[in-house]
Amino acid sequence: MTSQPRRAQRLRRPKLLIVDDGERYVELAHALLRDYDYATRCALPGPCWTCPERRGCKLTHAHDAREADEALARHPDVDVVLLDVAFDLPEARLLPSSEPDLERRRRLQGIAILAHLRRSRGDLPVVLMTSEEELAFEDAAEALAVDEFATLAGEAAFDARALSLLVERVLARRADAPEAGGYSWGHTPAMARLRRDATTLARTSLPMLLLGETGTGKSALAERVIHPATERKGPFVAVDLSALPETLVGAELFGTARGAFSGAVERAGRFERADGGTLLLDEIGNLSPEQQRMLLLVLQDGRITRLGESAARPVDVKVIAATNADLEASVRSGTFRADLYARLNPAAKLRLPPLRERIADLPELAASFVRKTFASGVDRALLARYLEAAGLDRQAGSALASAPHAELVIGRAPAAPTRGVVFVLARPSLTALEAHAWPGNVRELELLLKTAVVSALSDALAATEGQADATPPDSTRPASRRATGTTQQARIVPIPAKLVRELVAASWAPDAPRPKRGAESFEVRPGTTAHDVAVSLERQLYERLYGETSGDFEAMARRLLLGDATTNARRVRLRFNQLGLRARRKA
Amino acid sequence: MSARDAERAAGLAAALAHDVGKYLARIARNVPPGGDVPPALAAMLLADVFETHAGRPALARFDELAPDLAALTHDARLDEVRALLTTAASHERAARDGDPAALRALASLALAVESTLRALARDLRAGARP
Repeated sequence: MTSQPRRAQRLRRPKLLIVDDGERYVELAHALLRDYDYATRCALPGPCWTCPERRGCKLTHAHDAREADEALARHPDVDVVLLDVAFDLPEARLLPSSEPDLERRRRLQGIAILAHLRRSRGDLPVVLMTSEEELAFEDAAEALAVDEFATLAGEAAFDARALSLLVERVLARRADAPEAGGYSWGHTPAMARLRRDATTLARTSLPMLLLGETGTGKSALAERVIHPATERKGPFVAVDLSALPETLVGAELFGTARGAFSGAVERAGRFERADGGTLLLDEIGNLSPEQQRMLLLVLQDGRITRLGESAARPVDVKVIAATNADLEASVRSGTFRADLYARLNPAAKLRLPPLRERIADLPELAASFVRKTFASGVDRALLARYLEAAGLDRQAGSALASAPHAELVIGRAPAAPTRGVVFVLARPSLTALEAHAWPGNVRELELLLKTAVVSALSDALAATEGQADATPPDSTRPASRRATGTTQQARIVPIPAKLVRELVAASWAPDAPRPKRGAESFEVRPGTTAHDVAVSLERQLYERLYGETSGDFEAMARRLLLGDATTNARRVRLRFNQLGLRARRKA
Repeated sequence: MSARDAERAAGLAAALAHDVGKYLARIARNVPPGGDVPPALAAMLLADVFETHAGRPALARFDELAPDLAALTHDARLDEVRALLTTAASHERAARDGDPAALRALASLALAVESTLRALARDLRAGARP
C-alpha cells in the first residue's frame, strides 16, 4: 500500500517530536511537512507556522534529553521521535556518561538520548537524523543496528520528502502491528472485522454498542481505539454503571443543581464532562427504567437536564454503550426499553469475541502482554534490577543492549539474545494455555502471564543475587560482575511449566459464564451403532476445535494429540476430512 | 602518507563534509530540482550559505579547515570546492534581493559543494582504513 492511501485512511494527524540542538531542521519540517502535528514545549495552540510568537521561539522542540522528557510528558501521544545524533551543548546539558572525551560525548549524545528514551518509553519509534558517514566516523552503527525502531536514513535524512517517507514507513509498520493503537488485535478474521468496523463507526455521529463477555477488552477498545478514531477534541470519559448505587446514577450522568436534593451542589455530570468527546457507558444493562428514559432523551435530543433544573443544556457526545449482558433478551423480558435499544444502533453492534474463539491469537497476545508488563512501573524496575545483578546492564558495544526490554519466545530458547531478557514458554505450557477455557478472557490471560513472568524473573533475580553473595569477598570485580560467569545465558529466563500449570489450575473467574467445553455440551444423537454415535461426537469435537482455532490445524493438533504438532496437524486434517467436514476459506 | 597522517586527513575531510557540506545543503536539498526556491526556504537557504557558522559564511569555515588538509594531501577537489564557494559568495547580494536566478544558483552550488566534500571524505576514509 502506498503512503497516500494510508494517509487518507489515517484517523488523526501523526505527531512528531524533534530532538535537535539546532533550529534548522525544525524550521525545515515546519516549512515542508505540514501534514503532521508537532510536540512542542509550549502551551499555545499550534501550529507553530501560524503562531505570531514563532520568531526566535525555543519551545518548538526539544534541544536535549531533559527537554525531550518535558515534551513527552506534555505530549504522551507522540507517534515518532526525530532525533539528531550530534549535540553541540554545554557539558551540563549532556546526559551523564563514563566517556571522558567531551567532544565524543557531544558527537554521540543522540545515541545516549536514544538509550534514555528506550529506558523510559521502550515502544516509541525513533528516526535518527544522521548521515551514514557520521555513523562510520563515530563507530556508532553497531549500537544503532540493534534498535529495531531506529532507521538509518543515509544522506536523504535531511531531505524533508525522504524524511516524510521514513516517518510514513515507521507509522505504517506500527499500524500493521498486532498491537496497533495500544490494543492487542491478533490476526484472526473476527478481530480484523472488528478493527475495521470499530474505526469506521467511530467516525460517524452514531452511538455505538459493544457486546462481549467480561474481560474481552470492551473498555480498552472504546478508550484506545474508538475515541482516538473519532478525532473529537473533547475528553474520553468512562462510567461503570454497575459500580454506582442506583440512586446516584442520575446525578452522576446528568449532574445536579444546588438544592436538587439534600446536600446537592452545583455539579456537572459525566455527559457534560465528556462534551466534545466520548462517553463510555459500561454495563448499560444495569440502568433502571427511569435512567433509561433520561438516557433516551439525551440520545434523541442531544441535550441533558441536570437534576433539579428545568432548562436543558446541549451536549455533543459520542456515546459508546457496552455490556456483557444479552440486551435483546432484556428487551424481550421488558427490563430494557426497546426504543432505547433501537437508539443504540443495534444493527451495527460490535461483538468482541471471547478468547476461546480466537485462541489462535494467544501466542501473539502473550508476547504483547509480556512486553507491556515490563514497559513501565515496578515491573520495569524489577527487570532493570535483574539486568544489573546479572551484569547485563553495562555490556560493551551497545548502549541499547542494556535498556530494560523483555520478549517472549515459545518453544526453544534463542541461541544468543543480544538485548534485554527473553522469557521462554515451553510448547507444553502453550498447549496448556490453549486448552484452558479462559472465562475471564484476555484480562485473565494478561494477569496470568504477568504473574508467570514476574515470578520467573523474581526467582532468577534471587538465584543471581544468591550466587553473587556466595562469591568470595576478595574478588576485585564489582558484585554485579561477579554474579554471572555466562552473562549471555542470563538473558534467557525460562517460565517453569509447573508454574504455568499451577496458575492455569488456580485461574477461575467465579462470576464469569462458564463456557461449555465438556462432553456434556455435545449433542448426543442416537445412532444405529455405538460407532455412529462416537463418530457424531467426534465430528462435533472437530467442528468446535476448528472454530476455536480459526481453522488452524496445528493448533487443533496441539490440543488433541501429544507429540510434534506439525506432523500431527496432517493427521488431524486427514481425520477432519474423513469426518466429512470441509475447511472454510479464510477471510 | 603515513597511517597517522591518513587518519588525520580522514578526520579533517569528515569535519569539512559535516561543518561545511552538511550544513550548506540541508535546505538546498529540499528545493525542487530545476525549480525556483520557494519563499519559505529562501531565507533559510541564505542563512545556511552565509550565516551558518556563528553568523559567518560556509566559506569562512572552509578556509579554517582546508589548509590543514591541503598540507596533508594534494586533492584538486579542495580547489574545486573553494571555487564553488567563491562563486556562491558572488551571488549573495542578488540572492538577498530575492533574485530567483541567484537563489537557484545558490541551491545548485550548495549541492555541488556537499557532494564533492562527501566524496572526498569517503575516499580519504577508505584510504585511512588499515
